[in-house]
Amino acid sequence: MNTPVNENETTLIKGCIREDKKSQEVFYRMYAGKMMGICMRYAKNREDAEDILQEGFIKVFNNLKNFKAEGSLEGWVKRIMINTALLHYRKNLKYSDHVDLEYAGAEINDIDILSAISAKDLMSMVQAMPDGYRMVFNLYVLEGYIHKEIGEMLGINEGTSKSQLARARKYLMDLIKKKEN
Amino acid sequence: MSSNLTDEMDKIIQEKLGGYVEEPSPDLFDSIVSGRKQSGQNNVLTKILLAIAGAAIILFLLYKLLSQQDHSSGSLLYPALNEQNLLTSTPDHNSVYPAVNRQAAPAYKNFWAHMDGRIFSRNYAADYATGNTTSINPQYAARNMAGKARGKNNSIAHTQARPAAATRKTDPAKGSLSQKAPADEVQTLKAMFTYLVDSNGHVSFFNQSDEIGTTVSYEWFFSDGNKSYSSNADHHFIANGTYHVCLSISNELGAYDSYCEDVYISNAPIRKNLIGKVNAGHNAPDKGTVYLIRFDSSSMVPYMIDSNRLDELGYFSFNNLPDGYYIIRATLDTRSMYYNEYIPTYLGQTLVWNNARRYATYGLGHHGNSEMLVINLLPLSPRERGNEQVNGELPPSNNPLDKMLILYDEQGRPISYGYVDPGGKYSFTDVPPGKYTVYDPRTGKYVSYDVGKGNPTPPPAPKPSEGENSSGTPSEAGSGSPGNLQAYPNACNEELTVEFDNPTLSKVTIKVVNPVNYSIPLTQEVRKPSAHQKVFLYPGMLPNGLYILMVEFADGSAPLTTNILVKH
Repeated sequence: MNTPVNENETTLIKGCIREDKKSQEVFYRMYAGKMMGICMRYAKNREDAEDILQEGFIKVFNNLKNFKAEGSLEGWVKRIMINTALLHYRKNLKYSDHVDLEYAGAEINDIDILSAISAKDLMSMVQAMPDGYRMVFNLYVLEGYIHKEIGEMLGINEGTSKSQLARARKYLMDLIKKKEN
Repeated sequence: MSSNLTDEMDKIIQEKLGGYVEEPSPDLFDSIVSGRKQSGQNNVLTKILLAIAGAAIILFLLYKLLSQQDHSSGSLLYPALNEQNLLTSTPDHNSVYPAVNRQAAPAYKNFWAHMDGRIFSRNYAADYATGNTTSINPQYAARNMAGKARGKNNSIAHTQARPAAATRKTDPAKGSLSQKAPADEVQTLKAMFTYLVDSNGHVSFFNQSDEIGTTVSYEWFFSDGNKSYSSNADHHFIANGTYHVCLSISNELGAYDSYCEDVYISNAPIRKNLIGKVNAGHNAPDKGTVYLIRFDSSSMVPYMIDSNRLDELGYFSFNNLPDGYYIIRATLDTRSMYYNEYIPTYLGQTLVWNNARRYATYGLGHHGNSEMLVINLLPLSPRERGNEQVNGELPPSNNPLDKMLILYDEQGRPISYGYVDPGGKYSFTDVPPGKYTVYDPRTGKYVSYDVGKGNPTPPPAPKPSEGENSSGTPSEAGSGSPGNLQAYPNACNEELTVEFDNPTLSKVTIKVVNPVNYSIPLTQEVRKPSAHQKVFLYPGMLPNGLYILMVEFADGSAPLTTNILVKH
């Protein structure tokens, strides 16, 4: 599954470039659920996530001819989705440079609460975060980018990315605690 | 918040959301297709407009050129501010309007009036020719024409009924279609529908047909054995799949048409429940989480769709699952009593999702709506504590479900597990000096470490590299071990050579042992004893993974074991 591009994928990609609707549908179904999951994390709600997904897939189909079979196809599709999501919210993003790393100290108990939350509930909490927090949180915790890279992607400095992440974590913990009570 | 706690929370969030999957609305693909077409059409439209504009300019220039020629023959068409021209063409006016420039204005007016008249009359003629008029709704106009064309049988009442039929249609595309129909062609019925998939397999079908006649009858075929006879239909599909839905319409004049479309249903309400118990075999219920992973068999992609907490007795349940293949994974809470004793495990007791037994809900129909599953977590071997660390780095994984690593000791027993951090780094702490193997279940790759022996600081671990299956392999198993047991190549694929000393010349059995569950997938007896034995094994049919080789002697001497062997 991590192999860059296999023969089936090549055939599928060719079909999509030929604008063969069946290939495009197979391609779409292959990634729709997974990519929707990613879009959900970056979006405020399901509707926004679908908008991003649609926009992302249009870009994917328009640019598939430029896909170089060097990396994994899924990684490529995923990057397009993430970039689309970032663009979608870019205009709303407001960052404060005020570094405020004051936490409501997390306790061991919080970990148990967090493990107890269903994936769906956790998702809606992530969606409830302010846009700027959510972007940094996703890029760092779930995509594994470092602050320097996130800074470049969002056009902010490294320190801002760090403080946004700290705030995002605090925000999430507050939501989780609220749910517990 | 200490960084350890933060990391731990990140891990939980990654597990829950990293593989999160949600099905988008079933009609989204169509939106993508039409979205792309639209942007394509916009481009085409722009090009057409540009072409028209270009043509207009050329025509105008041509016109100018022609008029200039006309003018030389004495016509007053040409609107140039040319003193000489004006003087020669209107000599009478020249005395009334002494300024040449003032004379120019009426000449222009005259020109535009002339032009307007020509353009207007030409358009009018064109409208007349196609039977199109701008004052009447084109749909209605076209239908009216069609009605007239059909002959005298059309009563006034009939034609009056038609605007109502036309306004019922909301699709502008349909309007332009009817507009194209020439007036003299006898218009027939044209079946058409659109649909909307709601929740739970419920679909609303909207009749969009072009209907001619007072009595139009409808017949919907849903391709699941059901029919409907209303103009707009609602239908509940009870199973997921693609349905070839057809609408046939006919009228009292005997005209008939049908239209079909494939309707894709993925949210049908046939649902099953999976109820299960974790660690019933070990009789150690504990706090933990069970993850439900949907396995898409067509694309071979697993994705997580839900998670569920274990109750006090170790039970979990996933309800209302649609048909499909699932993989279930159970983990214990970090703070649970048994956290350090069991490895998070997939259903079917394997650590690698692609070898995990997939659970098909198709088979559940015979047993009612619920099925009971048991997941026994794999136990870790008890281990000693030490002051050494095993550190390493892996390429970041796309699939956070598979970020777990397992640490095996020299005997190939699992002694600990941990997770790769977002940067791909991992670390096992508090281990005594010794040899270790770290196994990445995601790729089936491993890397061996030798920590602490005679070194005050742990030597840097060899880094595995993605894509090179054989790099970083541990030293050949058993070199210098008792009985001179050697097994090579390591990693092996089709053939494995085993060499050892057999001083007592007893009968020998060689066993390939799975170190995780101690099953023995391959055994070979050696009947011809010799002092130094060389035996060939063919492990080709074994699943890829880690194994230990065990050589047992019939005379009861101590069996020989190898280090971890890799089958790839």
